[in-house]
Amino acid sequence: MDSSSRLSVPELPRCLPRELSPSERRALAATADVLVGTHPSLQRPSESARFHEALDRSLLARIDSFEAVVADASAILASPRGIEATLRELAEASPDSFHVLSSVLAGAYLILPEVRQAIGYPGQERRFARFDESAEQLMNGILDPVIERGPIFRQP
Amino acid sequence: MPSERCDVLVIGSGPSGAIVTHTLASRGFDVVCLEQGDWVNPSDFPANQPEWELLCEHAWAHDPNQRKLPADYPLDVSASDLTPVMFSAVGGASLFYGAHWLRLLPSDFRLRSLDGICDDWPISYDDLKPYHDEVDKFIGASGLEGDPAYPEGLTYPRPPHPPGPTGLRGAAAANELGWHWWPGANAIAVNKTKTLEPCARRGTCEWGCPEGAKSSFDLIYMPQALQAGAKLIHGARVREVTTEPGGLADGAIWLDRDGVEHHQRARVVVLCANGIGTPRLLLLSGGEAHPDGLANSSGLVGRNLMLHPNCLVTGYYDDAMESWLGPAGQLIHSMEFYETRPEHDFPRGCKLHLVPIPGPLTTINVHRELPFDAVWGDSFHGVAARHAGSMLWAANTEDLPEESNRIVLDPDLTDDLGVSAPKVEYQISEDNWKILRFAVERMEELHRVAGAAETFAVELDEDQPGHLLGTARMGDDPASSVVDSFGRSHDVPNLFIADGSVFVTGGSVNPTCTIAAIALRVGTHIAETADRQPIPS
Repeated sequence: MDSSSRLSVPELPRCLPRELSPSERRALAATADVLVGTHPSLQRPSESARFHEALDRSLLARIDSFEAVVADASAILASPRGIEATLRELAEASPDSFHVLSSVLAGAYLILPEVRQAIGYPGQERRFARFDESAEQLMNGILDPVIERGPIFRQP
Repeated sequence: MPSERCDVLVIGSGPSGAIVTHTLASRGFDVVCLEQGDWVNPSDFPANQPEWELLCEHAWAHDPNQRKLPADYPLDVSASDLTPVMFSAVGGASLFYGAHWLRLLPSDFRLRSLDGICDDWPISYDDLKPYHDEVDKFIGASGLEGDPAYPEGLTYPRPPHPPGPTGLRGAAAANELGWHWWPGANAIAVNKTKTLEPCARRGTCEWGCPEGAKSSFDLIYMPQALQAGAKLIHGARVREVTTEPGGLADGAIWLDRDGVEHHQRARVVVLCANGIGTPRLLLLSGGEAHPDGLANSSGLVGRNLMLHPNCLVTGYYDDAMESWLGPAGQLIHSMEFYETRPEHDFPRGCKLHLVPIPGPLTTINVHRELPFDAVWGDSFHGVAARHAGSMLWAANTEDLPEESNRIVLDPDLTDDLGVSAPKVEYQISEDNWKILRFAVERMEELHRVAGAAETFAVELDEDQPGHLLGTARMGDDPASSVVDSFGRSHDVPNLFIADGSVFVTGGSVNPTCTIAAIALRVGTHIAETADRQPIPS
């Protein structure tokens, strides 16, 4: 083993193992369109330039399933039964495959700042507590009923 | 490749290993700590990235069999109801723990005396209290004194984290039901504490703290141990504890990253490799003189494995509560159903905790049990938006020790250097299932009273927790225990165990707090008895 390699941190590649073809990107975006539906103020994944940037991040995060996700999306787009019907079949017949595919595509969509804003999620942020925040929330009598009931432990 | 002999060899650098290493190094002992993983920086953790929830599904999964990092060894879980959380790195699995910081209760040490089940511990709540107090002070544990679930005298050096909107909502429900609750006690810094940064409430504690605020033991105790002169060798996979002809331990054989064998010689050996790694190592050791493994005259090495089966209920509410606001960590906890009650048809009980849900993809995943149309397509944004009004009640349940639940060496599976992997044989008992179902009902009740619009219950969370206990239990009788009350092996008097393996029973509080106190007690005892410690020639 290379002595400089890290033992306890996954070494994820910085770029996809291969370039996605335009048809593969189309398949992934079209599948995402069906999964996330429509929102009155948001672009669909296939209409959003930023979705593909987010998609690359998501695919890298699940690099273990990269080829499987791309192949599933391509097969879904090619299916004569249509995307939605084929997705439903996949969810029934192969829940593990559906889980990864839908996680990668929904996960990519949920990274987009405008989507986060629409669902009321600010994303990971640093929110240090005010020094008196705890006291303000707890020193208002809310603990009184617990204290009044007294000890609840068994003494040997 | 032999080494200079050190005073004390510590195997494992998780909570117990870091504390033992620090305790002895700061008293002037020459200490070497061997760790199979290496350092992880707070900047490495997945929560630094927007796609962190996806990263946690595989690359940073709790399950080493999925993650398969170079430091991980495989686990055979084909005969186990649970897949334990493990992590091999400096700091051990504390990099992934929730840092809920509660002590065992007085009754936990006396199940035989109180309920006529299992065995009493050879130590009591009061015996551990001074060690708890010292650890709490060192790490700056946060909590509120006066919890009526505990005897008087339990104080914390730092105030509790704010429960926030979700914690207060859960607390109000508990008040309405007349149940115990208390602000969560956590090993998470509310403000700068030694080598810990203040908590920024990201809520991703169980996947590594990007702020360096959580008391993972690579960030607290181990840095101070190194400053005190301890030597840490990472990338060191221990294959065997070695013994001299007289039967005393004289060191350990370890393999470096290239598989090259080394022998670290020592006067005293302390195992801190967790409730799976420690029995694995004992079973791998001893040679022909000990065909059943080292320190195993009782036959109990590996047996009585306890894992605290978890269950959980996620509730969704119509109003936004900033449900991602940490720490997670616990916002509040409830010990209402912790103790044995005459009206229950099971002994002992569970500890409940309310935690935030840090990311929206988790909310999508919770809803997957619903029909396709209720999650996907035009339902998707509505489901994702429910994230803001969600909270999670979860429970550790008390599993009692059973000899059939155990760690053995797998006959076929090995790590990538050819060392036998452990096999986990663990079945949840009928009484434990009763507690799991009972806990789910109580958590459903809490959500209902709090006004949840919908709840989703998981009766058994199969990939939690990382509470690995009981596989080298302590006791006064060598026939029914592996180590004495100070962690000293009955069979090998210079071999100690200081991790969760020594638990006699497991309680249902998160165990790292107790493991830390035990480790400090073991380390202190080794130091104080060094002048009469038998050592190899």
